[in-house]
Amino acid sequence: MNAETRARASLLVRILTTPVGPPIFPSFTRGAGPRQVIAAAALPTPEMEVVTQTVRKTRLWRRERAEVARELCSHFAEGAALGRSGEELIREFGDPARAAALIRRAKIRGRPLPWRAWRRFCQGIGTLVLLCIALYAVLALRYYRATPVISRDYIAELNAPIAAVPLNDRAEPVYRRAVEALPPHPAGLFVGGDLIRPENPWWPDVKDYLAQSRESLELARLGAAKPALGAELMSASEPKGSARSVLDAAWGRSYGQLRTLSWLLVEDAYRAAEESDGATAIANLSALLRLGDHAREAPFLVNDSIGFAMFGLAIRATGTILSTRPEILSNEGLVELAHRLSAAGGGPFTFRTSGERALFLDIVQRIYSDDGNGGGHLSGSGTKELWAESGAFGEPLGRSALAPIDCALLPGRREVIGEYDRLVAAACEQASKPLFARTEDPDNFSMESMGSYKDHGMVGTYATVGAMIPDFGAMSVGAERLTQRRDAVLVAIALELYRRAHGSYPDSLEALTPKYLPGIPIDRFDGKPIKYKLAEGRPLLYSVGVDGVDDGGRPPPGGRDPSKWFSPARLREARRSPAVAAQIGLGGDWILLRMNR
Amino acid sequence: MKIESELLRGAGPLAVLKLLERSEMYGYQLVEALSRRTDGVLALGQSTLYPLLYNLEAKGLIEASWQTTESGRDRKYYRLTSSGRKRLATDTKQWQALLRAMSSLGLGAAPAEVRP
Repeated sequence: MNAETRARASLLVRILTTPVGPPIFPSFTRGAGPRQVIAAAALPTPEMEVVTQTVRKTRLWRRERAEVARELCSHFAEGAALGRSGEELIREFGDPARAAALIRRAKIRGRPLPWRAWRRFCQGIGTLVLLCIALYAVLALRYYRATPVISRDYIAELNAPIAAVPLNDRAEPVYRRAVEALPPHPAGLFVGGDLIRPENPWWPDVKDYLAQSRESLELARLGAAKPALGAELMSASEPKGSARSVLDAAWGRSYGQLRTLSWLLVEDAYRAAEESDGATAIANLSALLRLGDHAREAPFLVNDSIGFAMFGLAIRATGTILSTRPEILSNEGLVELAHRLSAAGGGPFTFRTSGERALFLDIVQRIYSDDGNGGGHLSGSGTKELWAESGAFGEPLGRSALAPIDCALLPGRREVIGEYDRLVAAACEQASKPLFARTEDPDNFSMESMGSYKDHGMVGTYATVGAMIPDFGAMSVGAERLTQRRDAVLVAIALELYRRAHGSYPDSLEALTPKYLPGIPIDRFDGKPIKYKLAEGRPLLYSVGVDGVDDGGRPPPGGRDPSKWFSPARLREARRSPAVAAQIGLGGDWILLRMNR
Repeated sequence: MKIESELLRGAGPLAVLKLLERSEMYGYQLVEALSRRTDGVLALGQSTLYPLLYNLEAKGLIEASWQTTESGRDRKYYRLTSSGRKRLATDTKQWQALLRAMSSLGLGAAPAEVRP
């Protein structure tokens, strides 16, 4: 490399042409470079410029450029030797840029196969990356630009029948006054937690408190006589938000009052029974049943649960009083109680799902776009609300860079609603069956969607559904058990009325029908009539329990609960494994009611 | 006469192979021969010819070697390989069939005699 050429060369070229060059890049300095070749050809400047420009634009390897330079220089030299002018030769040569592009393409075809394969591979990867970027851009645009349309006010729709109740027919204001009239709890005594029975050491303190709470008890009974609760779901003073947030506020306002009053009424019923005040006991138990109906005013599972809990208090208290102090209850009072118990909950104890569906649809309309035909997809703003509503599972989806892709893979609005309805219908179908007819746990249907949700980590296939679908299993079993207890109490009332009329208890329940009992209730664990026997002349009502085996009214050993339902599959497992059997209370009957008089 | 590049695309490589059939030639020589023997119809510019030669070389149809002339100039001579001869034979038959077909449509006479 001469001084002039070296002066014009790049820094890298100058370094590589020093003694340190060969150890760094041996092939670079092997042979003459294109500039040396062109310089050595000693062409006239215009031709040399054309060759230089063409060779540079090929962007080939150094060796290849030198080869091309040598050939092009040879070409111009031949032309000059034949007397052609430089302008002629340059004109015939054509466009250097086009020539360079064609030469480059041709020379690359001649490169080694591994090199060409690697080039194709890199081009393929590059194309794929560009496609992915383009796809991501489209999905991100779709995701972040989508805007949910809140078209229905589900709370207003649910609230409409409640708002239509005349003010004078509403129990809620009366209940509020009843709670406000309550005296403060004495230190160490909590009225409203676990029930305190007459045999409890705290019972005298409870009686004192009840004596101070007369006004509240009167108001509670007064409120229970009203046709409806009238507790509106919406409060004008609170900000309007999602349906769930509104309901949380509504439940906080009203249902704490109902719980407090229910405990007050049942404790006072026990007091009344102890003091042989049958009329007050019946009045309190009737009011308690009405309280349960009031609690179920709005069609939500939590309302049903609260209502059923109140029914349960009334049923247990009735059963306890019947078995220990039946003499305080008049025949008329017993008949009234039987009617009240039969009517509680409107008949069979069943859970309603329309409220939860409204909540679900409200969530859907807040997180999914709406194409006007029932379809739509998750939106960026909407997914943030989803995780706020469902209680975040790790990093909220909305903040993830992969959110547009995740949400594009998730089902759309129509599919999510369809899946929700399918799962709820399947769960309800199981939950509506009596225990002996159930083939699987209704919770399996909610877990089906939840399982998919959990398997995929943060984002399940039907994450919206999984977050919103209610757990029917425990609730529906509880409703069945409550129905069984109620049936037992109704039979006990019939037995007491029979005894009073005939002087003794009947040998079988058939003797009670139809005068004292419309029909013999079934044992909800085997579908056959509820079990009845006389033990030492006193009635014993029982169910065969979860194992379906009639043990003659003997409870299982070890204090296990035979009324807790398990699926047939779990029972089969228990019959094979004593350890599992010990866990689930096999080997005994569920004692419903034992008359002690 | 300027020929459409689409028509030249198939003719150019075959013409070069044909010229190299008898003897090896260097780039400038090929340019001159193509122009002269076809009355300028196949007057490929150097910016077209050299890429064409490199393509044929990459396909293994021709091979090249440098030789120094008596006057001291370097020339890169191209000659047919055995694959090139086979390709020439195949393409020649195809062209002749094409020409006969075009002639039957009234689009030309039979191929002219080969000029030295």
